[in-house]
Amino acid sequence: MTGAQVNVALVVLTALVGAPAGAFAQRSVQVPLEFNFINPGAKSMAMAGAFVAVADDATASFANPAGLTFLAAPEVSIELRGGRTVSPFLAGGRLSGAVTHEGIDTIAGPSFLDSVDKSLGISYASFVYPHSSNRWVIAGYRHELMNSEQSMRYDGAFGQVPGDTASQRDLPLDGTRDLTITGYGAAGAYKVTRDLSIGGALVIYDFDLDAEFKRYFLDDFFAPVNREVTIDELRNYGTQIGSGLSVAPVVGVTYDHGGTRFGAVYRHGASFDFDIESFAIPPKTYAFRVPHTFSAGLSRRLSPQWLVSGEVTYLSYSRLTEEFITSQVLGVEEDFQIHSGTEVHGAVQYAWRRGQGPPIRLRAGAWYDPDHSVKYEPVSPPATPQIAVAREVPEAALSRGSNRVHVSGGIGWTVTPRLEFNAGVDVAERSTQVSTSLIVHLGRTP
Amino acid sequence: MLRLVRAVPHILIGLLLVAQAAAQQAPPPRDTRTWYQAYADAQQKIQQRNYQGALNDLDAATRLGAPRPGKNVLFYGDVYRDYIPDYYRGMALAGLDRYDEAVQAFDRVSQAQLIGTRDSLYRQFTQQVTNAKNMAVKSAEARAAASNAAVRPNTVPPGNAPATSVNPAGVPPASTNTAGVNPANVNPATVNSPNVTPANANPTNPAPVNAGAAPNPPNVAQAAPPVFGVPPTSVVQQGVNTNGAQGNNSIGNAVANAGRQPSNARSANNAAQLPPAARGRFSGEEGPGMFMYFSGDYPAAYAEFIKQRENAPASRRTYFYLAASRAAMILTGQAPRSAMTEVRQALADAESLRQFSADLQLISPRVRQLLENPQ
Repeated sequence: MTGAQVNVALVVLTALVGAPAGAFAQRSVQVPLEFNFINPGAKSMAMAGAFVAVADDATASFANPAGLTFLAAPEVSIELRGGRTVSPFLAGGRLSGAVTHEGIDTIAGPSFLDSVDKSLGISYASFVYPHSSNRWVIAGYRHELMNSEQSMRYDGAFGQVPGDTASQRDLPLDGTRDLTITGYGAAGAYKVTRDLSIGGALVIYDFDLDAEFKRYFLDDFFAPVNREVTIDELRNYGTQIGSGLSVAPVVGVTYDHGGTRFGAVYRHGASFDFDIESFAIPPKTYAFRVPHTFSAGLSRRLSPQWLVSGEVTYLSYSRLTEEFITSQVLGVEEDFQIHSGTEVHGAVQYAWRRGQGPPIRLRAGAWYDPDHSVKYEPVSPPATPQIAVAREVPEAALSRGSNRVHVSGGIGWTVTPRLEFNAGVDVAERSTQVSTSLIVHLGRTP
Repeated sequence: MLRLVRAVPHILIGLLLVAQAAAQQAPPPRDTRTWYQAYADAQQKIQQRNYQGALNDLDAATRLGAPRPGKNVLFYGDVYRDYIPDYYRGMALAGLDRYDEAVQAFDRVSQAQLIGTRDSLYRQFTQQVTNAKNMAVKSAEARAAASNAAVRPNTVPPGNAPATSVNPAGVPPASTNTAGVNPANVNPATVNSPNVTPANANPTNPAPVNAGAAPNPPNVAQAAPPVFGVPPTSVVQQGVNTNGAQGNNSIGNAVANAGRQPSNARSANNAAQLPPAARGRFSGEEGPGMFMYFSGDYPAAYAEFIKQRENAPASRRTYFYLAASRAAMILTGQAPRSAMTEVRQALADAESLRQFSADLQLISPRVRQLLENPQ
């Protein structure tokens, strides 16, 4: 979609799964969740996702359908992508008051652990067919917009209201969440003039969400959590379940002038229903809204060897706040936000000419990834010291989000006139993505 | 209301007519292709034997900003290909019987070393070059013979001459075995050509064939028309007219001059407008049409023979050249493939092809092939 890789820490509410006992437990911990809004193709990854104004291979059916008109022959593209993303979550610690060194109350300040999400698989496949008139092109593709498996274990943080002699402890919580969103798109592009092309796609997204949360009782105030209990013995048990299909459109445009190309694409985010159920709250259906994206960029071929490309992408992450976040923070919805953001991408490609055969393409780039994590921003100051202590947990849990800069690189190699191989890597703090892709040229080749 | 309903069909028909008229008046759509798409189209059209279309696409590729020909040229994205338009231009020109130009195009490919021995196209390329050079030599000899015949009006017309008679003054066959010419492919008629000598039998530049040519004896067997199915433009560039010694009354010049006229103007020509030398050469009712045919203006020739046919009874030879000109139009993309029906009918009216064996030797091998197998 945008080349973005986003870590969004989603707040899970005690109101759903937690106990009302204690000032702390009004709202509790986060479950880290990874969104992968990444442009398909190793070439795009190596070019830091600055591809909307390049869009000159089969991955254009996703990145910018208008770019499909640059293709002169049918192409098949397939991508194998793997990644490792680390998302920190609040595991425990003492957020206020003095450490007692009793039981597990031994850590001053918040304690974080990492949820590691590893993935490997065919993330993109497409087929492009240019009509012999060279004016219109059709394509079909499959793309994994999201494939995330996350888990967390929270022991319950300690706190203390100033002036009180006793500490408070948040109730322990475990959570798992599997979320996949796979798009099946039919794209088309039409060349209006020699320089201007328009494109569009209709994408059917298949959504599958399966999340589970367990809130535990405490056997002893300072004791480790006893997780060997049945569901009936839990303080609360909640689920988020959803599956279904949704259709969303995509429109794009490219304009060529000399060696310069402008590209823009708007991708509408699909919406899905999911159900929340727990001991405390009756089942209810909410909406999961995928952010909309709008990208615009320029690329310029400085010479047959050099290509530079840039792109800015606006993502309406705030769509996630409505219902998906607020459904988990009932009563204090206005205190939690995900801010929309603008990414900035830039890349360069150099075609290294060899004695024989097509040149090897060397690519490098970087992109700015604004913080998309859930933010805890109370709209009013705490009315009481107890409320102030209660707010320490979400403040700590949602404090780790930050802007990031990704660097990327990769190569492109023409194996035979009909077969291209690309490889790319994208590295950022707590995230590494690796991609390889093959492009097969079919039919008439110039 | 009923009146309105009844009017609907009329309104629709009116709208259709207006739309049709608008479509007819609309300017032709702009070429929205990229240069590499035009190049790919040219390659495809060569496979489809649409040679004129291929030439047009190759020109379009250049006009649309194609880079300099070379190996591993960037087409788009990460697609790098050899861009060798002259190779395909040569194939298209050869397909149009413009062998001299084809050889020139192939020479440009060779000089730029764009197809090497390790390239997959190398074998095909060498074969194409050999064939084009052979045909160019043959074409040049035909022109030479025609020129010589033109300066001797009493030359025997091809239809009345024995096809295989040998010029006593002719050079031995080996004289045409020049570089790049495969002896196995050389037509016997070619090796017997009277004017080819080791010094002037340069297949890549047939113009000097007639340089300094002495007047031939009158019994030239290949008293051929001036151009071997080559359009007049190539005659102007490379034909006998480059040799001032030939004089202005040669048939070659006559053909070339005719070739400078627009096609429709030439179509209006008739025997009365033939240059004096040509009148002597192309006598009889078939003369004007043959003149047009051998000057490469197949539509004009076709129109002329149609006119002759209407003035029945037309000669069998008229029907023969009617078939030949129509076949040539099909091969050059100037007539649809369905026109083979006309070719077959004309051949049937001409009766046996054997009686035109001398004429068959003078026309393009591809046309000849189509006449011999008019399927």
